[in-house]
Amino acid sequence: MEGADYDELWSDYVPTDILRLISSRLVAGDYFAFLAVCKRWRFESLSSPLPPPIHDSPSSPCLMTLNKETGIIESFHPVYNVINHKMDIPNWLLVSHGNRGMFFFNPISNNIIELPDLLEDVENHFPSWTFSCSPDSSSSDCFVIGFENFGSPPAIYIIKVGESSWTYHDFYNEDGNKQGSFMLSGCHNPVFFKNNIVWIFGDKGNLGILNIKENSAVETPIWEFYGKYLPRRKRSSIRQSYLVEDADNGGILVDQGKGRITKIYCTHPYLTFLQEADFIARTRDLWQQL
Amino acid sequence: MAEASSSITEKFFLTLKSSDGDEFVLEESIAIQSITIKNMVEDGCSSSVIPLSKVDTETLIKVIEYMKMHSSTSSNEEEIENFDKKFVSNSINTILNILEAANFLDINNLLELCAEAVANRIKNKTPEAVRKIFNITSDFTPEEEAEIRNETPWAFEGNLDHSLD
Repeated sequence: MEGADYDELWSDYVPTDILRLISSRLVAGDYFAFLAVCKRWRFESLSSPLPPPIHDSPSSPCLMTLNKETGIIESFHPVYNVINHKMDIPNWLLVSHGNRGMFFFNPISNNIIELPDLLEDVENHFPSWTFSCSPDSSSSDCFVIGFENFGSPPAIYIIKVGESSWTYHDFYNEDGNKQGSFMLSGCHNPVFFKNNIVWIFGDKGNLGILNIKENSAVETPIWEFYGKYLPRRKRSSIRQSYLVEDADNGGILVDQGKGRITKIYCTHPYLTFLQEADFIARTRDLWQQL
Repeated sequence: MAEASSSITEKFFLTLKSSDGDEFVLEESIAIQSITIKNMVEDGCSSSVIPLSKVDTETLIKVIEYMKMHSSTSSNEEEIENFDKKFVSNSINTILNILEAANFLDINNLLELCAEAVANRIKNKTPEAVRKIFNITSDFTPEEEAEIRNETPWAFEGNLDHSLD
């Protein structure tokens, strides 16, 4: 009988990522039928963190619900009928409305801070956005920056909240890119923004640091690049990483989730690569060595 | 051709060995569509035969056919499109084997192509038909199954395809 040899293979041994690859191409009724086939197909698919974008079709938007009692935001994917992201309600969200505009929304107070429209010849195709602090902060200026996902190094779009127009900076003639190419991998780049310095992880695992000059959006910021490329087989993990501040040591850690810290950067042009280090123990040793 | 004097046109060849022990000689420029093989070449581990213990001969032949068609500058887009269409009309078991091989060899385009092909065989089918196609026995209890259907009853209604094509 055709298929007899595949009984075991397909109920037990098919790798999870292949199952995910197949289920991510199914939507609505087809997806639910897939989940109803057997336990493994159901639970492997449901336990994966994020359905990848549906191939060749515009990805459908998620619905966001704010629960003020629990203080949690849930983003709900209607096509897959799953909650795919939860986070604590932040004070301010940076929101895009269409090609032209960005604004800040405070889900607790429902306040909105409008930003000027983007420049006329620039559409909002910047996949990565970040901002430096609360836009209503009285102690420091808030900068909002969008990064292109192509270009080496990527062009940026920047405004200081309160000013009347955006500034576009590209870096085509930049010759200080000593680490070779530095590009972003799309909208999942781990980014960290503090004290007018943006730390951002490139698509090959090196670190880009963008320094805002003179506390001004108009002055061309300076890119610097650090670190070696990650081995190819590790690059897919970049999208699951986060940059977090190592407050004790004034450095930046790259957190790959599950407590694995694989890279450590300090604010000096020194860095090292720790492979799946036990980070508490190893970083202490490391910093003492410096 | 391998002895062409100019280093620019010099071709390198790799030998791939299937799990059945059959060996296939392939141009390196074609074989490195597989990231797994590319990494081996870059790490200098490809001087002798590359054993592919997870890929049987029948599957490896298909994978090599695919890589040849997709690497050469001689095939145009229309040819590739027609090739892909014909390729996914292979039996479901063949496609599943190729899918596993593409995953192991890390050939992204082939992985996408086969995943799409498998998904297309699932579309608009009942879970029962999908189980038959993939030869899977349901391990849900009747109560669990009823509960699943109750969550999204609309997904199990309507004009669904019960066939096994």
